[in-house]
This record gives sequence, structure tokens and C-alpha cells, in this order.
Amino acid sequence: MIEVKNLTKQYGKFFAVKNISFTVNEGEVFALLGPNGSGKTTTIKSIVGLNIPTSGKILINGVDISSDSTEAKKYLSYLPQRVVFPENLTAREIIRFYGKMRNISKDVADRALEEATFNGFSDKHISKFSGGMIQKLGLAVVAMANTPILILDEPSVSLDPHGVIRLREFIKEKKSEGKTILFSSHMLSEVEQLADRVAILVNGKLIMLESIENIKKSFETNKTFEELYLSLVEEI
Amino acid sequence: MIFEEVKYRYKYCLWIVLFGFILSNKISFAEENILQTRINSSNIGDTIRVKGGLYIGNLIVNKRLVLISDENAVIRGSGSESIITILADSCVLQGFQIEHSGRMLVNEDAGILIKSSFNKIINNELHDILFGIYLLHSQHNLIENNKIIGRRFLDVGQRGSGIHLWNSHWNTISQNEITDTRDGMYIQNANNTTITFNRVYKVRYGLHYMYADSNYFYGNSFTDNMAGAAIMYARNITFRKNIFLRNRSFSSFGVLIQDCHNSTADSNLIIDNRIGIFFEASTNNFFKHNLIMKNDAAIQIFQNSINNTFTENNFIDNLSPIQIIGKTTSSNWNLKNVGNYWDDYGGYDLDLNGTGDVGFKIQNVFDYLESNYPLTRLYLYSPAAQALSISASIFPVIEINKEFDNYPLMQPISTRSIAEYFNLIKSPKNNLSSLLIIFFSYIFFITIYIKVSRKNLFPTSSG
Amino acid sequence: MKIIFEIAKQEFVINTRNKWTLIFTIIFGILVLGISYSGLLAEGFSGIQNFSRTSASLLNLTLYIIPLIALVMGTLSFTSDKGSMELLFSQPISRKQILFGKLLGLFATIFFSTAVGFGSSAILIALETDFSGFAKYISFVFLILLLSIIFLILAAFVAIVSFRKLKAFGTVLFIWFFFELFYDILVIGGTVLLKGQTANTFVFISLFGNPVDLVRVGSLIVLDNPTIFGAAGAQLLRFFGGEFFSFVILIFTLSVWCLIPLFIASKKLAKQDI
Repeated sequence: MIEVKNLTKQYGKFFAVKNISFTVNEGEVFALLGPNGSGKTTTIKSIVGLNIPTSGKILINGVDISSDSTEAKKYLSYLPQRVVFPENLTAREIIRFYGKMRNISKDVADRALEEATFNGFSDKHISKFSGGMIQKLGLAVVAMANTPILILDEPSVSLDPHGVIRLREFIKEKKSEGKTILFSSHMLSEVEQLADRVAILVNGKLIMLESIENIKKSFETNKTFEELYLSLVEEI
Repeated sequence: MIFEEVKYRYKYCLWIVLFGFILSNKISFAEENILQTRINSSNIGDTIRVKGGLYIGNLIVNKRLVLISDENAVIRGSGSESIITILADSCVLQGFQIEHSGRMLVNEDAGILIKSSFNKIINNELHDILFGIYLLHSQHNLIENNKIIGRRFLDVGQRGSGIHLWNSHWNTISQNEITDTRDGMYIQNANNTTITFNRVYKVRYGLHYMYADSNYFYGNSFTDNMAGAAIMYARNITFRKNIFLRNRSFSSFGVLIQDCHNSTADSNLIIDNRIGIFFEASTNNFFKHNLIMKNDAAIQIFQNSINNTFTENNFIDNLSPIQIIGKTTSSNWNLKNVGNYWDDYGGYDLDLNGTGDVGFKIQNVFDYLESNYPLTRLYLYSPAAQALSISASIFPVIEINKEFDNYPLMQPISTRSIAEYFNLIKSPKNNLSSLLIIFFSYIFFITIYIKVSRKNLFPTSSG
Repeated sequence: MKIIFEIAKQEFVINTRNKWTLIFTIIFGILVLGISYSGLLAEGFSGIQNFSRTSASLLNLTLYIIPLIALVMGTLSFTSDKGSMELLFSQPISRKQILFGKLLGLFATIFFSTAVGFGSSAILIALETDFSGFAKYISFVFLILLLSIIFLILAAFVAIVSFRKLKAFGTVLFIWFFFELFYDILVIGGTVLLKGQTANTFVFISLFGNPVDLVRVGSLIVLDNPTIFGAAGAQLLRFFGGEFFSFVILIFTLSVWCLIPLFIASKKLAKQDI
């Protein structure tokens, strides 16, 4: 579903991402793992069409994002690292607005809002929302789009434990619906529990791309996943 | 010359008579002759009363007569030369409509040509004429309550003057209305003229004035002309209670004073002109109690204008107070410790004597710049111009000139009675109603604003 | 087109619900109304052209405030929170649509919030003056709104290029000072130094380099007439071939001032990382 070929992103002389290639298959949950500044966000932003890559090619469902981004973006919905909504809009206004962006009718948008259960806050301004409710709304926007691909950038960062649980449920649910999910994280536990395959990024380079099982299997003897990861990160 | 005219007239009549025979017996063009014939057959001092109707042909009044039409008889000129020529003294011409003069500018074809003295021209209406009333070497005439309408379709330079005085003294011009001519009143070599209560509008120069001394102007109005009054090469002129309003074009002015000396302007209204008063090479003139308001520039003055005095004038809401061409002038901006009212003056009057305790510097840096570099006027009212003026007033590094009013008035001089005379006062009821309108429309718009901004982005149809 | 309209609508609602916009609306309204009221009525004379220093102050006020407001609003909108920008830009819509939509919404906001002052003044002017006075006023408002579009686009351009909020605000403030003050002082200085025909050409050409000057000169000509500039006005009209042509050139140049930054901004935005 997502093909990343030789992706490079350069800021001046600094390489945020250098020559990365990977493929995310249909229906799998794919995790980008790495410490802060390893290039996870840059990679995701390039996939979503927010960043313009220095070189390389990204295909979403076979469509090149750089040549036909509008078409390519129809197949994915994206949740940024920190979701922010304009403070003086209501939840309903926001969800209907994003509905309009994808030609989704008001009724469908309203249903998505009901499913998210805001308990009477649906028509309140965002300024009155708690962090958890904003996350909920973000997830509702992403879910409403009903695209085959979901892309989440560090979704659990700055969430309280309830939020983390809600997120985990969300990903599991979407996986069961057959969606392709790509998310980034620096939290091993999250990756371990949710992902089918993992790509480990360090300093802008892809150093490992394996299924969770394979990784676990090859290092079963002496190391936990955590130890493995730390050793990999230190090596570089 | 008269012989020629008669010959011409004869020929003209012959044609008319021929046409009359051919066309109809009922249309009689013989009227044309009747008036001149009556004049010719009358005795000196007779009064000829003319019934209403159309009288075709030019007239020559060559003996003392009183010509009166109570029914506004129309005298239609032949279309060449002047329509009525008065050669004898002490004639009266009253109540006629006079039209269709000649069109030769060089011959100065007029509606009424006067070459004699002590005549009275009263209550006539002149239109389709090149010059209106032309006074040539004529003294002591009275021109009163005539209406003169020039040929609007001509270029302004191709028209004649409304009232033209040449080498004529002691005349009185009063209560006439003049429009669509070249100059309203053209006065050359004419001393001791009294000009009162005339209305001149939509002409080139309302008053054009050369080499004429000791004249008196009172209560005239000069509006919507290319220039109000141009006074040149004159002495001892007195202006009182005239209005110069809306005289606007690129180099236009309310009053132009050039080479004019020892004249007095008192209680005039000079409003909404391009330049209020223009001075060049004029000395010892005296301005008092004038209202100089809403002009683009109140005064434009050449350096060569010396010792002019301004006292107790109101300078209100002019875009520039003064434009000096050159460095400085030796104008007196006050007389016996009484200056003028400047609405820009921001000083104080602690001793409560009615004049400000600090002098008023009339020209700021930008005024100075724009008088000497006219192009910079394009930056009039730009923030840059204001910044320049403000910074120069805080740090007066450059001394621009010595134009100071040391005794600026704290309150304007009342000019209300003159403004009332010229119907310039607004009825006060507008103020309250407008205030209410403002208030409610403001509330209305704010309410709309708040309503709209609170409205749902996407109107809810399903909850 | 529909997408542009929806984005504009959202932008409009976000901005009009902002309390600062409301405060601006109320204050601007009072100022404009106050000025037109005092200009129209306080003199107590009738039959006099309405242009005066009060109109000049109205012109001045709007020439200061409108570009500033447009710049601030534009910068705020185009450097708004990353989270909401990212979400918006990841939607299946083109960046051009976002740019045009936001600009349209911002312009609608300015139009709407100045409408309180301009609109209630228009009612006053319509009631107190004749048709020509009203027509003059309308064309003045039109020019001012055109100016607001130019500065919105400039703000968008700066925000897109500099990307960081602080840098964008610094640049925008500099732009404001430059066009309001420095540029004119430089030109005035040049006019005084240069001579004759060179000075003429210099001044008239330099007018085109500053949209604020264009609108100021245009508004003075519209509100009063070119005679307000005296000899300079006559020269200006002769230089541009008459009143009609001057106005055409004015509108054309202002459109160029809109289109070129808009074109560059949209090109820049296409290559910009969000």
C-alpha cells in the first residue's frame, strides 16, 4: 500500500533522512521506531505529502505523492503528532469541515461525532476541551475519513494513560477492519504490542526492517526487545 | 460705419421681404424695422414702451431715449456685430431679452455696446451673446440686475466677457448674474467702479482686473469658476463681504493679487478653492476679518510680496496654511498685538487676553518642501510627511523661515452673518438626526457582525 | 472551488470569533464614524465640498491600520498551530486551494469587520450628501479593500517563506514600516535632490513601488480631485495621459501588486515543508 523508495531529505548539509526504502503491505500494522531526531517524523511527513523530499519516490496505493498528491492523499488519513484545532470552533464544526474536505456528507460526519461520544460537548468550543477530548476528536476525524491507510505520528506522546489505552483500542479496531496502519513511536512497549513489522530508524538511516516475530526469534536467547534496540542504537 | 450698417440692413430686409411674399402673407417680418423706425422717428427724451414679441435686427440708439418693455420683448440680433449699440448719453434700457449677437471675437460683438455715459441698463436678460455688456469710454453708467448667459458650447477661450469695461470710470455694476462667459467681469483702465451684489459662476475668471484703481467690491459671489478674482496692476481696491467659493483647477485660486498695492480685503469668505489667496509682487495690502477655509492651500505668496498685513482672519481647515515661493516674506501676521486664528495652533492663553502666549509657526517642514519642490506635494498627508514635520518640530535643526504669528487668536472671529447672507449655514436639525442615524446604523452593523460570527459554520439540519 | 469556499468559510469563522477581531471592529467602526460625522456635519457650512482635513485623517487612519491589520491577520493565519496546519495539508486537497481559501476567508474577515465602520458611514454619507459624494466614498472603500488584499498576500508570502512565527512577524513589521514611512522619505529625499524632468520621472515611477502610495494618491484623487496636488497633480495626469488612464493604470498596478506576490507565494508554498 505504501512504497518508499530511496527517500532522502536534506536540510542544507544535514540529512534528516538518508536513502530509506520500505514497503507497507495491505492490512498490516507497520511501526517506525527510533529515538527523537532519528527521522521518523520526516519520513511520515514525506509520506503524507507535507514534506517535499530531496530525492526518492513515495507511492500511495500506486500513486506518486509528489506528482499527484491530491489523488494520493485520498487513500490516507493522517493524525499529526500534536493535534491542535482552532479554539473557537465547535467539535461539530471541525468534523463537518474535515468531512467537506473529503466530500463526506454532514450526516456521516455527525455520526462519527456521535460514535466518539463527547457527552454534550459536541457543540462546545474547543477551548473548553481537555487534552484527551481533543485526541478523541482527532481520532474521530481520522476514522471518519474511512481511508484504507491510517498514518499516525507518535500518537501516544503527551497522552495520559486513558488516552494511551484508547489509542491502542483504536489501532486494534482499525486493524480488525482491515486498514493499513503506519505509526511512529519511540515507545517499545507500544510497538511490541501493536505492530506486525518494525522499521528502526537511527540518525536518518534505516538500520533494521523485520517482523516483530523475527526480531524476537533471532534474539530470543539472551536479549529482550528493549536490550536489542538499545544495543542497535548505541552501535551507530 | 453707420452707413455701411444701413446698407447691410437694407440688403437683408430685401431678402426678408421677398421670402415673406413667397411663403405667407401672415408672417410679418416688418417688426424688425418697427423698433429701429420708432427709435429713428422719436424725439430726444421720449419714452418708448415696447410690447412683448420678437423683434429681429440690431438696434442703434443714437439719441437720449428710454426704452422699456414691461412684457420682456425679445430683441434678436442679426447674428453679426453688437445687438444694441448705445451712442447717446443718459439712455435707459429696461426689461428686454437680448439674444443672438455676432460671433467675431476681434470685433468684440456684444449684447449691449455702450459708448456713452450716464446710461442705465436694468433688468435685461442676455443670452446667445459673445460679450454681454461692453462699456467703451463710458462713464457713470448703471448696470443693474441683468442676467448674462454666454455661449456655453464655445471653448472658454472663444467666448467674450460678461461685463467688459474698457477705459470707463465711475460706473456701477450691481446685482447682475453672469455665467458661461469667458471672464465674468473684465475691467481694464476703469477707476472708481462700484461692483456690488453680483453673482458670477462657471466662467474662467470671475473678475479679471487690470490697471484699475480705487474700485469698491461689496457682496459679490464668485463660485465654481476656474478662478475667483484676478486683480492685477491695481491700487486702493476695497473688497468687502464677497465670497470666493469652489474655484478649483490645477492652478486655480480664490483671489489672485498681482502687482496690487494698498488694497483692503475685509470680511470676505474664501472657501474651498485650490489656493485661497495668491500674492505676487504686491505690497502694503491689508487683510482683516476674512474667513479662509477648506482651501488646498490658504495662501500662496511669492517672496517679492512685501509688507502685507493679516490680522483677525480665520484660517480653518486648509490643507496647507501657506506656500511660500522663495525663502521668506515680510508679511505682518499681526497688527497691534492682534494676530489671526489658526486652527492648527496648539498653544495656550494663560493670561486670558485672547491671544496665545506662544507664537505660531505658520509653515512646517513639509509645507516648506512642497512650496519649493511642488512634486513632493504628492506625499501630502503621507505618514512620511507627518513624520518629517513632527521630527522637525521636536528637533528644530533647520530654520525654515520667519513666518510667525506672535499673537495667534484663541477663538475664531465670527463670520456667521456673512455666511448667513450667502446661505451657507446648515440647518441645525441635521445634527441630531444624523447622530441618531449613526448610532443606530452602528449598533445595527455590530449586531450583524456578532450574529454572523456566532453562527454555526455549517448550519445544523439534523441536530 | 467548493473546497476553496469551505476553507474560506472556516477561516472567516475562526477570525470573526476571535475577540481581537471584534475589538478591532468596534474601535475601527467608532473611529471611521467619528471622522465622517465630524467631517460632514461639524463645520456648519453647506454647499462646500466634503473633502477636508477630516477626510484626509480618515484616509490616513485607514492607510495606517488596514495594512497593519491585514499583515497581522495574514501572518497569524499562515503561521497558526502546526498541528492544525498539518491536519489540513494532509487532506486530499491541493495547496493552492488552501492558500486561496485562507486568503479569501481573511479578506472576507477584513471586509466584514471594516464594514461596520465603512457601512454605517456609508449610510450617513448617503443620507447627507448627493450621489457623487456617495460614489466617491464607495470607490475610496474599494481602493482600501484592494490595499488590504495586497497586504494579506504579502503577509501570506512572508509567512510561507519565513515559516517561523517570530521571524514572520519581524519581517511583516518591517514591511509595514518600510511601505508606510521609509520608502516615502527616501522618495521625498530623492525628489529634493534630483532636478527637472528626472525628478518628475523618479517620483511618478516610484509611486508604483509602493501600494500604499498608489492607494493614497488614488484615494485623494477619488475623494477630492487631482487639483489637490496642484502642479504636481497636473504633471501626474499628463505623465499618465489623463484622469481615466491614470485610474486604469492605478487599478492595473494594484492588480499586479496582488498577482505577483500571489504567484510567488503559491510557487513557494508548493515547495514548502509544512
